[in-house]
Amino acid sequence: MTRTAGPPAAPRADGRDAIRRVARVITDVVAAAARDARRERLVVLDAGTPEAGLLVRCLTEGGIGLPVERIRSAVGGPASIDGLRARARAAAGVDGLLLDPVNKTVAVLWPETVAEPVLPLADLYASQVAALADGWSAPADAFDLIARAGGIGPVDAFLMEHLDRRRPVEEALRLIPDPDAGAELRDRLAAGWWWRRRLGLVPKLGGRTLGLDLR
Amino acid sequence: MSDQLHVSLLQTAPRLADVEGNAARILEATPRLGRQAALCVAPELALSGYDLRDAAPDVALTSPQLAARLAPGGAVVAGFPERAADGAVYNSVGHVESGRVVFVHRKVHLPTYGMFDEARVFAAGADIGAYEWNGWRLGLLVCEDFWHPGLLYALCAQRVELIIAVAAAPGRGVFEAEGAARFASWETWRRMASVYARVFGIWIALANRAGVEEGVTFAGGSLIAAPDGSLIASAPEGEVAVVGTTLDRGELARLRTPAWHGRDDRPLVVARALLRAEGIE
Repeated sequence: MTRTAGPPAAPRADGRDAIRRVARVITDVVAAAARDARRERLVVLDAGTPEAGLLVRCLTEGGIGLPVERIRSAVGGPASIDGLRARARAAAGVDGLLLDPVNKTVAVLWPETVAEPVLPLADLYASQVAALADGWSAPADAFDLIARAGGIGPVDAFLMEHLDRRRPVEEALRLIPDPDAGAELRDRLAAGWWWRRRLGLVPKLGGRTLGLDLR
Repeated sequence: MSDQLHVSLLQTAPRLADVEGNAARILEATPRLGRQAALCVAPELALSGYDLRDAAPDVALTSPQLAARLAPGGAVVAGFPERAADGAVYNSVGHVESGRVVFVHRKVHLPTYGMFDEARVFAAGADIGAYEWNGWRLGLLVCEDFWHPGLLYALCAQRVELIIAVAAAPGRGVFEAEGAARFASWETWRRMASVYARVFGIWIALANRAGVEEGVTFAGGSLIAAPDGSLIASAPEGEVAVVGTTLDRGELARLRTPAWHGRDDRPLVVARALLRAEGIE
């Protein structure tokens, strides 16, 4: 199950231009992946999240040139992410490429919940997604920790400080007001290492990209 | 010998391990200018693509093989995986002209940080030299070499007028980029080229590749900087493109005004200090 949330108090990019830039990179990478994997259509895992909407918008604005099919969660009911994954994989079949629009915050801290071959938004932190799409999402059971850590703003600030600016974990954790929540984030980061090494293809948007610079 | 030299930067998007196709793309992009003093520059590993890993020995070329493949293109500078006589493979840039090898530089600094693992694939070059072509004094660099100012200094101490750098620099900072830029990271290259050109009083031609390999989008943004630090040609970021301009040696003195720091430089002072730093008196 996934949950969505509105935008945090995070710096906004100049939305239109940022989406145009992100869309171009994502579209180019996804198109090359489809070509290299010899797939003729794209299947988006769409749990009704802001990320899914942003991904489809990026592919459309980027002029992907391939059919894009959205496999959606049941309208009005709780999204069972496992059921959705099974349907999406079945829909992808042998000629479709399955895209999971997970954000970087989730891919770093909850990588065991991510399993698809292409993760087009996984180099955008949740707060960056929110700046482009007015919301973000995470696995439902992640929300309690994010809330205790002060919200998605401090969580992403901690990750950026550690991953992108290479500040040691303990120093970066000073951005998390609650020490217990900080300790849990530190443990999640450590526990996710093995899973992060096995993530799918991530288009490079930032300085340290999962699977490329950050394993 | 000509006081004018037309330089075209071929911002290609090589396909990985497709040497024949990439050579064809270079030749297709080569402008037919009908001028004798024209030089086309294709990016780092333009013949092979970047992330070769253990395919590097399979697609590597000797420099005469490079010259043969690019012979119809006239004078071309292009990055290629170079197979040396002893079997080692270098990340090299070759200047070839009508089937003849003019000069080859082997990348000295192989990056191994972040996403890069070039030292696993390539042997490192061990020299930096200038050469003469068509009356111009030139020097070649490959990508990471450009981040080591000592190499540019060494070329300028050999009185080069034009440094040609070929690159396969990824685009980063997509979210943070501003204005018309697509990648915040390319601004650093642009500034370096401008500062190097101004400080050394030379032209800098920087050919970066476009296209995608796996998750990496290459930044493009190829450019030429003049000895006064101004950018006199620039390609769009991230797209296949060809840009060019004519360099006029007659303009060199004016562009170096009011001060040509290179004229007053004293390489031996630096050389002595470097020997001391290395413990060699």
